[in-house]
Amino acid sequence: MARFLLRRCGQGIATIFLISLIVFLVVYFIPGDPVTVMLGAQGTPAEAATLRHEFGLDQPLFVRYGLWLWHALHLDLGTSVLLGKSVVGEVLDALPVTLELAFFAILIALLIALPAGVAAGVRQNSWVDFLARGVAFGGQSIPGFWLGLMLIWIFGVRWPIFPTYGFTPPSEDIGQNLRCMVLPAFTLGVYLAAPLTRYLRASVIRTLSEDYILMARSKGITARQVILRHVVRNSLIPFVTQLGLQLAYLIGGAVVIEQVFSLPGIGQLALIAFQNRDYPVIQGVILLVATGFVAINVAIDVLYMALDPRIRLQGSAQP
Amino acid sequence: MAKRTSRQEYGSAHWSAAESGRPEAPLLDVRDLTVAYGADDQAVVAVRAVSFTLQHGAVLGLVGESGCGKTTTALTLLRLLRPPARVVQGQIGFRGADLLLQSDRDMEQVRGNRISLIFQNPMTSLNPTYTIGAQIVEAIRAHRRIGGAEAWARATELMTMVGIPDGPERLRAYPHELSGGQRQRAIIAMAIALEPDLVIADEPTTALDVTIQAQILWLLTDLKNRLGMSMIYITHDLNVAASICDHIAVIYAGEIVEIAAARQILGNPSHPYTRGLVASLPETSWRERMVHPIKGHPPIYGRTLTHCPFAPRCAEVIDRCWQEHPALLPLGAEHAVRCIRRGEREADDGVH
Amino acid sequence: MTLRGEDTNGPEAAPAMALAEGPLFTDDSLPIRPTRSGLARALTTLRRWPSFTMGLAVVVLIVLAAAGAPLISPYDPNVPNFAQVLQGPSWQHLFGTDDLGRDMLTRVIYGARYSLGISGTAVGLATLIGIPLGLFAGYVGGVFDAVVGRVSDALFAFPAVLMAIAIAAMLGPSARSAVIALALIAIPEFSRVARGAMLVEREGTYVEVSRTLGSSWAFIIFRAILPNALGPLLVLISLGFANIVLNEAALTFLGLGAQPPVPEWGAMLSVARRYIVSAPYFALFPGLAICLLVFAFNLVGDGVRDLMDPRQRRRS
Repeated sequence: MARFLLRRCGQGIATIFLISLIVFLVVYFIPGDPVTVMLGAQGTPAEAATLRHEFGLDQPLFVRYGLWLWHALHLDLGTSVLLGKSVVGEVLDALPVTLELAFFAILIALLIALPAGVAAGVRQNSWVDFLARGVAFGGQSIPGFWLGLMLIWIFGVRWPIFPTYGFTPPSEDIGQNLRCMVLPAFTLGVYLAAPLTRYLRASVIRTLSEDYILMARSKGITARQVILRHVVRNSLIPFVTQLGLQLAYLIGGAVVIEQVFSLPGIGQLALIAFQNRDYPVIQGVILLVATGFVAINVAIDVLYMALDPRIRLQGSAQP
Repeated sequence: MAKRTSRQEYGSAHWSAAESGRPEAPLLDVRDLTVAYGADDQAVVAVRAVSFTLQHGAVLGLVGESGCGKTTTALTLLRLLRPPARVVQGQIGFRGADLLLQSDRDMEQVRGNRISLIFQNPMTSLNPTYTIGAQIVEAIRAHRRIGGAEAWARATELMTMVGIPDGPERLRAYPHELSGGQRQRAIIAMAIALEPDLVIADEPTTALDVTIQAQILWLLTDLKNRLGMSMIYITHDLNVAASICDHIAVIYAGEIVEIAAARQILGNPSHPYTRGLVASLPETSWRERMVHPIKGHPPIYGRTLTHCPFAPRCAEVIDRCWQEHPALLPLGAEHAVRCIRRGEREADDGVH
Repeated sequence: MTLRGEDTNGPEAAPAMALAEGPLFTDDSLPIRPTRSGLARALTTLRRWPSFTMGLAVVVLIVLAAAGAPLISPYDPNVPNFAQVLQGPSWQHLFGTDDLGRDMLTRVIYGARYSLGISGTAVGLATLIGIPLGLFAGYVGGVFDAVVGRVSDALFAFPAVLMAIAIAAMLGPSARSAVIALALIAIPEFSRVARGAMLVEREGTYVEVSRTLGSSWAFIIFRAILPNALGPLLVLISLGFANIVLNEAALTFLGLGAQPPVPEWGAMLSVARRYIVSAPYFALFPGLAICLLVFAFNLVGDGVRDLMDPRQRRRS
């Protein structure tokens, strides 16, 4: 098991390095010169040259990458051109918002998808199944941001129960913080729940046709116990992998939702940086997000191993 | 709609306790069990009017090729079938009640407790995410209110009974850590854990090596003797059936075509299909150094069957075989056969 | 006599039963049913799957509407009319007007051109690049497959939106950078599915026969295997189209794609956001249009998938 972990982590780290290279190259190849942007029309060539040297922009590519990487490993991703603050600092400010959004969104998604998926799979072709499938199908056809807008209309304009923009940190007022989160988390959660429901349903249906389910029934345990103990548990294993894959959509969705509801999270940070050509921030955000993503995937793999004993023991040395 | 069923049609193949010489009521009394798949018009009949009885402590073999309905019969006895399969008619008398009329909750009481099932494929019949011990304990605690430790102790006992060494350690293992034979033994342990009245073994050795087969067979016989259980043994191997069963029912296309004491089936087979089976046994044909397979494939029939099911493949077929559906008629004591060329009495209303 | 061969429905209606033992055989002496013509079967299929037919019809309708936009739109999509700004739906303007007084119905219809165009181009690129790539990687295996796999994984690790931001930052936000971003997001997915389909088909006997006959790999992949792998690939393209339309709308909404005043649905929603309090209807119709198109593509994709998978019959 330890060997498997090590190998998996190694793969993850390799991927992160690859991503860092891509990120750096992308920004490197952006046309336009940040120095001229900064100086505007007034700058003299001499000033430009000095500034360039200060920023290390006159160094060869590899050196610049190496320096950047070196700094990155020391958690120094440069300074935001726009605000003058450190990139890492800004990211750390924005991260908790996005994390909170993601957390509640996943919670809501699971609260919807788990019962719906299991019920639909167990009672295949019943009205429960058709309802769940229909709603999930519809949910996958709706753009998340449009759903958000509609919710703003309903809950912001018609029945103003929940705030529709802005964010209050929990340290200030936790009640308001949670209320700010309701609409965005719900929008994102529903958006996530649709494919999850369908996938869980398919997994449940597959599990139901397994021989050991028939065997469990023949032992005389109640139908509910069969479902809870055998069907759900075994259906969850492939479901968890799918959940990991859905994280990509989660991040994408979070960016959009943050835009809709004006939440100061990572997505907003990246977008504003983009609009203002704040390349260090873009670089930093992409690198951090991708790193986090890879780390989560590794964690999911480990979790998968913990759930399925067959893989757990395969990873260890066999005589 | 359904086949006309009169007890007379099946004659004394459905022999009563008196005729077989034992005074007590049978443990299992199956009458005219018919199971079909699909809607009425397109229904395909997997089990057609199957009837037999089973006495306490006896072993009945169900022998036939793949797809002939043996497993469906077994699953029906425990009401484990799912749509699109449905029971069209019949009665399953067990300890004074008709199992087909019981509620799901009542059936849950029966399964594992009074009637248990041993499955064919030990590789896929165990949940890979639970330990063997957990699954045996689950079987026990489904029907007995005992504590975890006590259940675990009982599970250890069972492991010894079925011949798995290092019981306590093995209990903590996962299914994929055990060999096929050991897994099957574990499944047998679960089946006998609550000392059921009847154990249905559905081809328990088919998926195992030949050497393990003999061990498992021996184990089952031993357990049957020790615990006094009745058994229904399903197999396609006539030799195996003969070694363990008191009576054998030969099934073809969902119908019993011959039912008799095991000795009779092997020594004096009557139905052309049975004779074919016996002839195709390696030992029988060894003398002639040739294997005699039965040509053709087993068919599946729909709702109405107006000819003998074996007619397409029968070497002794005559025109009348295609015109009427033969009834199961007695051929002497404890022996009945479904063939118009064998029956002692001609049935009056054997058609349809 | 009643034997299985007399079932009144065609081959595709074989009852989905699960007898515990072995395959089912029919009697050899009965005549084999003659197969019905391909067209007859196709029509039966269409009749039996109303949702698929409906989805296909909607897609065709939208494509036609987009193509014939100038013919069916009541107004000009670009001419502002400051007298009638942000109106709700009325008989004059069925979908209301936008912040510059332009008729929303017209703009929504024209918007179909952009959505279909941009998404279609991205789908086309993904199909033409991703699918052959995946097929080839699956067929050849070895180093090529490993490299493609690793790069795919790295691309998958990139959340799509961030990639779009990066590309838009590089090339400037426009329809073109949206197409590139969308294609880059879709290509790994397409190649992965194609590779999977190839791995399944590769073991077929007909492949071996082709190889023994000395056909070139291009022939084997494209003329022999591809037609057989068509099923999952068609599903992929339909569902991929649905996804890409959604992504495209999201990208434009964020300002990374086609810029206003282009009548693109996502762009319209981005503007509508500002007016959600005063003019909520502004946001309603472009969103509904997106839903409709995506829903239709999803129906088509699901329909094709159900067609291909014999286990998923609705009526058993």
